[in-house]
Amino acid sequence: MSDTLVSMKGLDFSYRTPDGSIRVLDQVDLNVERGEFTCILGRSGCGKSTLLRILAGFEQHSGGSLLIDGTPLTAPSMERIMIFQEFDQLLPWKSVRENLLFPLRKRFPDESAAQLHERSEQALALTGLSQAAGLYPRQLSGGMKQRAALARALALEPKLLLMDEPFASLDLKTRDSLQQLLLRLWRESAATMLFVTHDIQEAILLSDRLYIMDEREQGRLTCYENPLRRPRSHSMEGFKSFALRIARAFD
Amino acid sequence: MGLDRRRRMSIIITRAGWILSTLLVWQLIVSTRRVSPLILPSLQAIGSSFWSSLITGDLVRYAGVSISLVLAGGLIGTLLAAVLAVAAYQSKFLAGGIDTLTAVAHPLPGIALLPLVILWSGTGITSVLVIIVHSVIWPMTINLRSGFSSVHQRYIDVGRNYGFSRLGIMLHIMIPASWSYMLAGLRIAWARSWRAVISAEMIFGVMGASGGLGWYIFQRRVFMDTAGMYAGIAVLIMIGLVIEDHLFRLLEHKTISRWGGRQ
Repeated sequence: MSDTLVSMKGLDFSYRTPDGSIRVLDQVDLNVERGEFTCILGRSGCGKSTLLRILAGFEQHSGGSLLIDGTPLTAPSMERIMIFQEFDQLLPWKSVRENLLFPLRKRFPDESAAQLHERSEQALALTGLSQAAGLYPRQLSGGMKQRAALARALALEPKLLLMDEPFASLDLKTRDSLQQLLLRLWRESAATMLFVTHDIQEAILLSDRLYIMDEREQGRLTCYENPLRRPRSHSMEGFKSFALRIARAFD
Repeated sequence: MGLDRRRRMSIIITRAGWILSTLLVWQLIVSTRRVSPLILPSLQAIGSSFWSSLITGDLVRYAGVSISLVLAGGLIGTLLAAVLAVAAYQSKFLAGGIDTLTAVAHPLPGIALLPLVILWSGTGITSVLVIIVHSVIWPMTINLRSGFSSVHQRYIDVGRNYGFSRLGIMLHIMIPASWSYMLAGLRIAWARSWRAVISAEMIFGVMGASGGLGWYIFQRRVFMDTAGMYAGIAVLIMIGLVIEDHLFRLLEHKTISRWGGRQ
């Protein structure tokens, strides 16, 4: 048995508009291996967010097959948690801790309040948010909000984490530290990562396998194995030449 | 917190200052003895009427009747408004009907419906409740609906991601996310239903065990007890100030101010 978590073959998707439909994805193939870090690199508007929304179960594809762990994807599920680019994804009427506990109660209905509390505190500690647990989202900085979204997602122990440019609105320094945090959390958890970005450096730094999405061909994906050893840095040997190769393919 | 308390204190001080100066002017006019005490009774007369009704428990009982009517009608009206708003949110077809119904019924003052309501259900508590429900249901429906449509798709997606059903998303996402609109709706609903219940009581008189504040004021006029009338009006004012200045502000402080801005 192969260890493929996501197997997508010939996937089609069109948006319906009043003047007919616009085909965004046409015959898209994608495999995501369990436990791997996969990045999809593409320009804005190329359909990469749509691909994630289909994988989350928010949108219905019109053709092709999409299997998660060998079974067809039907509805949204806590096994596939989405993290958005926008900072406003925590529920503003709940404190940070309550934002974690709220889905945890649904995810682990048989556990006691103390056990759930333990889970949330642990996730907050891992993301460096223990001090902020009682704060409301509006009191957090953008970076802290994305950390909290990460903590909330990982606490749910999803099989697959779907990340839609989660760091794209952050300043460089915060982005660097969140990239490192994400890599550490990935190593320590069993989650499979599917990370969408338009930033070549970010994709190379994070991914085991990297797909470039071509908007001229309705989302066709080309796969590149990332040859770099971990831990990686922008100054390591081979980073520049691989980045150059990807940049050429990207243009 | 400190800032908010200071702001609240300054509201109370401003209010008290203006009310006291008005009373002072009142008393000055009364002391010229040029105005009949049937029109402007002295503050002492109003005060003693207020006090005696207070210790006999009359005023409290009458005010209690009015407030509980508004609460009961407000609750029914809010629940019905929630049903309408949810129905309109779920179905485009129903939304059209509910739109039309709201557009027709909202501008109608509750009092204008009185003759009709008397015809349907007599001059009892039911009729007053119908009037209150009418004053509450339309502004609440309108506000709930604009609240629902203002909820960002992302929050709905988050709810879907957690595997909530449509009902679950309604309860856990839509309603808290549109709370600021609901609160605004409640303010309007309170204002309209409070005015409606006082007017209706004046017309219906005693319902069940006791009349309400409206009836109290009306009765004083019948007995030419002007001081008692003013005492009743003073109670109306106090209730209005406490609810509008303090209760709603407190609710807002405990919720929206903490969550920050529009949701």
